[in-house]
Amino acid sequence: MDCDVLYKVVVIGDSGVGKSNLITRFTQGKFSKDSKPTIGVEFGAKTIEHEGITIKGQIWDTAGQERFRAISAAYYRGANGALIVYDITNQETFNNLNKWFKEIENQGENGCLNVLVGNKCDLDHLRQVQTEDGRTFAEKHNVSFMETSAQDNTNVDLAFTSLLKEIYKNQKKGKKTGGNTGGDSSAEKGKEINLHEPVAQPTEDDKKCGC
Amino acid sequence: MVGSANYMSPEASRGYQYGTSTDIWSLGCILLELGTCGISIKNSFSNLKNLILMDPMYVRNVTNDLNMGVKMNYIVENCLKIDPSSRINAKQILSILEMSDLQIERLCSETNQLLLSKTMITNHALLVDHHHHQQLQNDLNRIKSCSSLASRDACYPLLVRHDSIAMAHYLIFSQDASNVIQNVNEFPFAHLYDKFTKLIHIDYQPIDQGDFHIIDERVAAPSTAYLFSSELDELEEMVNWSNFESESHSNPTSTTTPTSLMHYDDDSYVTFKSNSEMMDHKLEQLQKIHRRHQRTLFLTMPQCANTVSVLTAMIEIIKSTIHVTTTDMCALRERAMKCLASWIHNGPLLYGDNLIVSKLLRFTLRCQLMYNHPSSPHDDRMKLASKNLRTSLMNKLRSIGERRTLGLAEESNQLITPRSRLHDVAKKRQREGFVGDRASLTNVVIRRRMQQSQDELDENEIDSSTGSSDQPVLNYSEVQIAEHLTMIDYQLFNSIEPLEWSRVNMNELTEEARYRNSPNLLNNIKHFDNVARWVTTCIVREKDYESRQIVIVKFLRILDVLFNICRNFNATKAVLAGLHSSNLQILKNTWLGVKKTHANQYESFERIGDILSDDQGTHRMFSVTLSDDDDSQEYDKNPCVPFVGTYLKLYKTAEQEEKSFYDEIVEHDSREVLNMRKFQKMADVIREVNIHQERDKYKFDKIVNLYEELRRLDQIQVITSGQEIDEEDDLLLFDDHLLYMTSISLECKE
Repeated sequence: MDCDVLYKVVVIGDSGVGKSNLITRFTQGKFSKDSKPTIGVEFGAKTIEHEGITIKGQIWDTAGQERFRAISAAYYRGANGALIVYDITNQETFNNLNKWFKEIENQGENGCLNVLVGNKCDLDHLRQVQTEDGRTFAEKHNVSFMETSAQDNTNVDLAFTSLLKEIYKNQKKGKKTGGNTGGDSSAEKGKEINLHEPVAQPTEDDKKCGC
Repeated sequence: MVGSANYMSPEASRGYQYGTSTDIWSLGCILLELGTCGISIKNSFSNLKNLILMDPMYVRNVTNDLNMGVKMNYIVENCLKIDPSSRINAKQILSILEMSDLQIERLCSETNQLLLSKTMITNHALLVDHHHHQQLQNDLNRIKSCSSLASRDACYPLLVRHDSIAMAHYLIFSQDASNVIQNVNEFPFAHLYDKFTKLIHIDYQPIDQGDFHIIDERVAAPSTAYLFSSELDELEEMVNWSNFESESHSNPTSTTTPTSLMHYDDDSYVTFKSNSEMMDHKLEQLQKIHRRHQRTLFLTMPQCANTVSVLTAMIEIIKSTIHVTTTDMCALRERAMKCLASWIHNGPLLYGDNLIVSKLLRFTLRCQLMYNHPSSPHDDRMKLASKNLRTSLMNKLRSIGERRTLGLAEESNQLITPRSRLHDVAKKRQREGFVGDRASLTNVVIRRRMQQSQDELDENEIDSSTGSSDQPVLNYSEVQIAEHLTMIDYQLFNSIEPLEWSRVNMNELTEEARYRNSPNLLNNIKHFDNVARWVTTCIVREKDYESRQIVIVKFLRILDVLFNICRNFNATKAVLAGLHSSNLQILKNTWLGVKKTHANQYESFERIGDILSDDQGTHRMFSVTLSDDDDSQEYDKNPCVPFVGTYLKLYKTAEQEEKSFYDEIVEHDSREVLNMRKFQKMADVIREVNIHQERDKYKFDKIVNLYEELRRLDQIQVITSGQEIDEEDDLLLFDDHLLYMTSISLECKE
């Protein structure tokens, strides 16, 4: 393996906000017109260098499966980070953010770090959600925030790499992240994922109990 | 209920939609009853529908025995069709009454063709292969190069060994066909080649002006195909006749030459037949002629094969001209497409012939993709033609699907007790000669083993869980539940149509419009979510640890059967999702108990969960390696239900990841080029789905109650907190909030 640590990052948000485009842009999955197409599910993955070690981000996309409500648990299992995406030209996708945050709180792993992303910022003339609103929302939920554009490649790399670095920082310090609100505070030590073990391991005692 | 059960049409008695054709069925029953002079439908034909389902020729045989006359036979037979759309209508009945018996006999020939091919299409149909062509070409060349008539005659045996279809096929499609024909004009069997020439030209002539009388003017196209086959048959016959002729020449008493007989019209032929002064051996000969002649009309097995060959030929015409845009070729191609479309619509070919269906599916899809692409140079007529082609294929497949469901439901009306069941199945299969079929025998053995272990366990479990025993989960064995879930999944998966994949995720659409666009796909997803929710609800509903653990273990076992034996990865994923639900994971103590007491089961659950945890691993379980030449490849036919989500993801990824066009720079000139890779990828996903849809059916015994109960999952309302819960009801779905509240209240109290 050519990386030191592997983190699983999920990208969530309403359909149509451009999740897949963000991922393709980041992982640079450009097509080459000559190669023979093969079917098969491939993870978007990208390796970055940080403080002398290689971090591999495995980016999970829900493409096409958004309608399977029951399956979402599988996406969140073992996720180290989440990109929660809305579309700045569509107020509705911003309004639904609460739903997504609730879902990641309920289903996500305890140490999961979140980033709020307003996509399609190249379409400023169609903007329905002001940058300020996005930032306020992010502060309220104590997550970082940025606006991106998969179209002209604004902030796309930054969004992913800063998240990956942040995860690394947290895991290294082994300290509870501030990214997640609610739940108990039994700080589970962030552990590096050994590549020879299955990524998604069910954790026994990570679920919160509301009483 | 509508009407008396014995006279009710299949669709009405199954509770399906029905129209005026339902009365036609009843009319058929009454006519049959009249024809039998009062032997009532109730006693002798109580199970008419099943009898017909089992044997498509059943009514024909009965009416032939009754001898009610050609007209009546024809009417009765066509009233009693299982498929309402192929039933005769009132107007047609009236016109039949006006017809002469001979005309009806001609009509019969086509119906007969439909019926026979239903049961008898074989792969023989597709023998027009390259190897054969090569051989034929060599032989023809040899004849061509013969210098003397005598040596040509000597070559004749070379020709007769070829299938007449292959010959015609070769002559139609080989470029030097006309050459060959011109060169063999002096050939003793020149008339044979006249026919070939006609065959070649028939395709370029408007159908109604052709040399050939079209028997059924309803649809021209299938008749053309029919003509093809009947003409070819005539050719074959002539070849035979020619032999016969030489025999009869040596027989001085022979007064009729068979070839002249061939030119008799039907009326004179009948007179000829009725000549009672014929000598015995002549009569015998005549009967031979009769049989042969009949064969042209009443097409039998090789003729059915011919019709499929004709179909293949049509496809070839379209394929070979697909890139040509000259007007002539376009017209020809359009005609061929129309022929194909109405042939599919009216033809018999799709009954159980997977090979030809898969060929057509791929072909029509490619056509449609090609002609409907914005950059296609073809005009709207081609778009329309290719669309119609696709539509008629899909409609046909749907109607066949309907028929299959009818058949399935009829078969499974008997109730079987679980304990004796497997034993019986195993025995029956052995009797039926399944001995060689190892896979199914192993399944039986495994199932029997599981059943036994289940029987032992049942005694323990049912005792301790009497309070909740009216849940279907606990009433039926895990094998049965898994099998029935699989039957439903199989049906749902097979109902998905290729176009639905491209339509499913259009964001701007309302929910209603989405359902209109891809009903079957969305039903699949809905069913998936409901199964998952049902699993969670069943467990959360149990009030104490023990019964919760029992239900969990039950589902772990179901999971095992679904994964290992049924190979139903859709339901496996659904049950898995239900068990993984965060609302269930809250019940830590319950899970700890399960882990302790049923370590094996829990281990297998974790293993399956790991394998199917991501899309890559899931896809690996059922992925199919597509080859470039997909016609030649044999795919594994063992039944299996793949996870729908995988293909949704694959399709969406292919669609979203890549651009439809890319810029190509050729000599400083930039132009947009279609990104074939993307479309090929998308088409490959659909191809893979098609391969799964062609898999063999599961051979499970159906328990109607259980099946209906599980089907009900998709109809019931999700219960939100505050609503009343009917404790008696076996099937309940709680919404997320209610699930969360319930499970919290369960374990945090203690």
